[in-house]
Amino acid sequence: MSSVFQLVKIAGRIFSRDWRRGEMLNLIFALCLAMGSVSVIYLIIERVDLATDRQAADVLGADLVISSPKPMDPEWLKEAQRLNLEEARVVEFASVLFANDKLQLSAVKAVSSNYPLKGRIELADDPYQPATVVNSNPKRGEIWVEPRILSILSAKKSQPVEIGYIDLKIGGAIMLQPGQTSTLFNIAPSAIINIDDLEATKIIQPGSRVGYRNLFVGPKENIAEFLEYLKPKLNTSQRVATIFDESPMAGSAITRSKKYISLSGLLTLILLGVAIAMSANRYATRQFDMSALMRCFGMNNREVLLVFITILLLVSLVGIALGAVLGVAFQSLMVNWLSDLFGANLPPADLSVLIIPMLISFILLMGFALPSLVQLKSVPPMRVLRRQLEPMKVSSWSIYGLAISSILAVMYIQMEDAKLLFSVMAGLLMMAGIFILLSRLILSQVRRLSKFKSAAVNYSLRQLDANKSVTLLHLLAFSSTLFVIALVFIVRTELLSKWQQSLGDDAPNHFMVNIEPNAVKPIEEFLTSNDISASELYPMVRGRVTQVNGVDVKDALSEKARQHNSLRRELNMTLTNNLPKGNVVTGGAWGWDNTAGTESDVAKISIEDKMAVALGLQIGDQLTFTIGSENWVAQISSFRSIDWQTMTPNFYIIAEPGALEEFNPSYINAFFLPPDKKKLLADLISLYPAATIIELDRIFDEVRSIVTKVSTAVELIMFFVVGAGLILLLAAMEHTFAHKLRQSAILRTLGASRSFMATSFRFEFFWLAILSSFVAILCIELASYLLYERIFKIDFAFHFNLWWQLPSALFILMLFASWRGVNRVTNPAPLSLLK
Amino acid sequence: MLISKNLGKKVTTGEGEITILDDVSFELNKGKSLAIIGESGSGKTTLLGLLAGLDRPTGGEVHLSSQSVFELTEEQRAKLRKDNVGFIFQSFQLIDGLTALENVMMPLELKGDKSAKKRATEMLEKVGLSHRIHHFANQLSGGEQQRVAIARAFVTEPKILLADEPTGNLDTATGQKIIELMFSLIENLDTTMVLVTHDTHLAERCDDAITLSGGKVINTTFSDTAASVPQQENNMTADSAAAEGAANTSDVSNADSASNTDGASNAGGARAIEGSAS
Repeated sequence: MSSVFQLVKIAGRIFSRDWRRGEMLNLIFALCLAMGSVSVIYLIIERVDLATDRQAADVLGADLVISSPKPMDPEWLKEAQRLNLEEARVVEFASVLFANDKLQLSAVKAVSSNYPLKGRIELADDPYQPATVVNSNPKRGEIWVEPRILSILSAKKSQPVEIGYIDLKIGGAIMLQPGQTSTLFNIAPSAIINIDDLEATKIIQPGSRVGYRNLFVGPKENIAEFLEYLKPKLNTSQRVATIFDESPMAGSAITRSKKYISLSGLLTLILLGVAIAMSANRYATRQFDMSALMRCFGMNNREVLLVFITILLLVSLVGIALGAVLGVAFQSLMVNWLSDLFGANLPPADLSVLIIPMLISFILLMGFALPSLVQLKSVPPMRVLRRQLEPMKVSSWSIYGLAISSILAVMYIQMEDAKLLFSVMAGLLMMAGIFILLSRLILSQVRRLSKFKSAAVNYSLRQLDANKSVTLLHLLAFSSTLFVIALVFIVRTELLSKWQQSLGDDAPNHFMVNIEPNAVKPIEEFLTSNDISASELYPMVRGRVTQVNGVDVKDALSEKARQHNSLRRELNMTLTNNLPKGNVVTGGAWGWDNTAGTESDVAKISIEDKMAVALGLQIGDQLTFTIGSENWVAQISSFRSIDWQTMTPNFYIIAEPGALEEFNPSYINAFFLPPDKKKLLADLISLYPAATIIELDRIFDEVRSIVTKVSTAVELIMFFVVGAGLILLLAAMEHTFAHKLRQSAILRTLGASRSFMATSFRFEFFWLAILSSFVAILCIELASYLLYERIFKIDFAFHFNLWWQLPSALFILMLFASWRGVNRVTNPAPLSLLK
Repeated sequence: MLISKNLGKKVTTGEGEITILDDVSFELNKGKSLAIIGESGSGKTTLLGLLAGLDRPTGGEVHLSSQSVFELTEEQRAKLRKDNVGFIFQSFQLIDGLTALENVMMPLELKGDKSAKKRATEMLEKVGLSHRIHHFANQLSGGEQQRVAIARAFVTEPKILLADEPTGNLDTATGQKIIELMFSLIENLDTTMVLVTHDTHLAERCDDAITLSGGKVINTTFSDTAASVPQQENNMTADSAAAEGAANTSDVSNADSASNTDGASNAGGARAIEGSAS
């Protein structure tokens, strides 16, 4: 038996000989193409991901925010310093501000000099004046306040405001600050002071309710390391603030886009897998003769396998390295070229992200090539004498099994989102099942269908069945590429339209709260007469849930349920007969008539479904609310899901009109005010001074800008994935022609015309287009159902348009792309192929 | 039926021009058989391919069923083959993945024959493969594959059969059976045949023979004189061989009709054409 060294030398010789002859070029080109496409997508994904993190940090004001009811342990801060993290501090408390004999309870933030570490604060001299970005915290002796405070206190810039024991001068109106959307519906508008003034206010006394926020920025790895260090140390009252706390809408957009990015990365791996599967198959079939010769020369199975694995390693080294270099160069060119489209500079990518696709390429190459190589090992030496002898077929299941296992291994390396992993795994397994069953079923029937008048059509049908393993490979290549392209495209479309809906041009950008009942009608008339589109005016009462079915919450609910946010604060309750926009009844029945399980003499309420699940509530349960000092009992008659991202007033609790009259509700509404009508706000406020207007337009512009950036990112990634998909689709088509040369020569010898050949090839593509689209569509519907329901939380609907668009588009693409292929197959003299 | 006139083929490689076939001329009458003999690389298969219009020559003409093959377009040549020519290859060249029946049906389907299945089944019965009609090519032995190839070649009842080393890939006994089958079909269907072989015994069964070496015709022999062809003619060009053949061979009738392209009255079917070098 030859030594391993000798075998490697033989492999090296075969490699260099095939390289010189150009035999290796096809395989290396395919690998290079696959690795290049994946590198481009990975680098773009990395850059977009960094940009998205940056957006999230801007909303949060830092890379990492820890909130706690007590100051942070100095040990933790030392660790942060050790990791070179920059830190800023915010102390939050509620306090009353006095000015002009008026007072307003405010949420005050005392901030350190470097606040915010990320994002920005915009100040204006007056709420209706242009705002400027400030780069430092308020100077000592200065206070910045939200416009609401200015109007309530009838104060202006530079006037003094009393806070605790000191007076601070108003430095400006806060038009934008990190995390502003979270404070919008707080009863208390916010104010910012310098942390060095805090002590002098003497507000913080033992027992005061104070929140401490520590903000950190630093390199991504160091932040991650710090977070790992902190996590086991945080107690239940200390937590990592997420973007959702600060801006649910931007948070949701960013989270979804990150999931999309992650999904695109995974789907790209499928493309890579397909390309590698095709190359590995082609490589193995070309080596049949060589393998048989080696066996004739006395090598055993193991040695033959070792030689081919070594060659494959050499090929993968060259292909992967070349592909990565090309990918880096191409993505850099493309990003520069598309920088206008993206509208912002993408941060440069860390090239180490390519290690994963490189590793993945290698695992996939082995996963897809090994079954073919194992086949090579069993090429009968008799093949040298009788060329028609094929090697024994390794069971298809083992090939699919190995391929799927390698994809799962890759996902294990790649993924952090266990839920997404589960969905993709389940989806992939189901798709593999569907694919195998369907394609086998269809292929077993096609021969029977070959009863057309046209011999070319019959021949095309027979060809599908004639070379089953090749047809299956092509079906796999076409359908999975289609699957990836279509899925990346439709998920992107759904996401964009979802964002568009929530950020529509006429989405409400102003809220009006504290409207007195007698002002309701005149305000409605004012808005109508000025042609301002507004939501319904909702009466609003705030109450806290204290009892469930007459039993105190602390006894009635589990400890976990008692931690739910809805029990820790007053809930907004309204009265209406109309189901508000973005609400869907998920249990019980909407309306206030008696329904099954309810009593006639108790007021009916509808509650948010997630709250009901968290508290374990059922239809018919009675809740006791404490409103002011009074108790109010109501019975649950329905559950609703609420889309909190619709910019209209939303309520945990809705009750029957008239039910809460005795609690003197105030009213709230939302309306859209275009910039040119902004001056009407002053009229509105002067007419109804008791009401408060919350201007969301600045914040919305900010959120819209974030959403626009992430949607552009999503578009960009889609563009690259679809591009790579199309390139690989064309490469797969080239692969199909490689199998046609000999057939074409035989048929032309028998007298088949060129048009016969072209027709039969095109019909073969037609069947392949129909079959692979059919398989792809089934898989797309299944995968999008799983993704929408489990990951993106978007309502699922069948994509019926896809059912005709996909096969038509694929067939047209194939027709165009097959032009060269058909010529290539029919042009050479048959004699040259038959000798 | 089949005329080759000054047929030549050259290819250009990095090292210069290589002559594969040089000035080959002959004439083959209906129902006659011609063997093309020669060693490997002598240009036999190239000549056969050119006769069928499977490749283009760099010089000369081929007339098949009164049509000048290379004046036709590629499409017309394909039609000419479809209507007139049957092919048998050394390596069988069955279409992978099609059954024996489907392989035999193929040329009939190309002609639009509605009874393709029936005729193909009958033909497979004739070659003794009625029990194997639904087997795929790779499930058949070499001999069986070649019988399928013969069935495919004869099923359209072609006017001319071109066979390239039909027994080259078979053992002697199987090869013998294949040859018997082929000759009996030729006889029954009155088919003209060009047979490429390096087997002189097989060549002897043909009416006429030409010998190629280095792309040139070095000898022409005829059924009744094959054994008497003088060895010294081995270095003659095709033209001189034709001329010499006309003048010196004992086959007077051949000499008489050396320039006669209508060989219906000749004892031999093939003739070297006088003046083919001009």
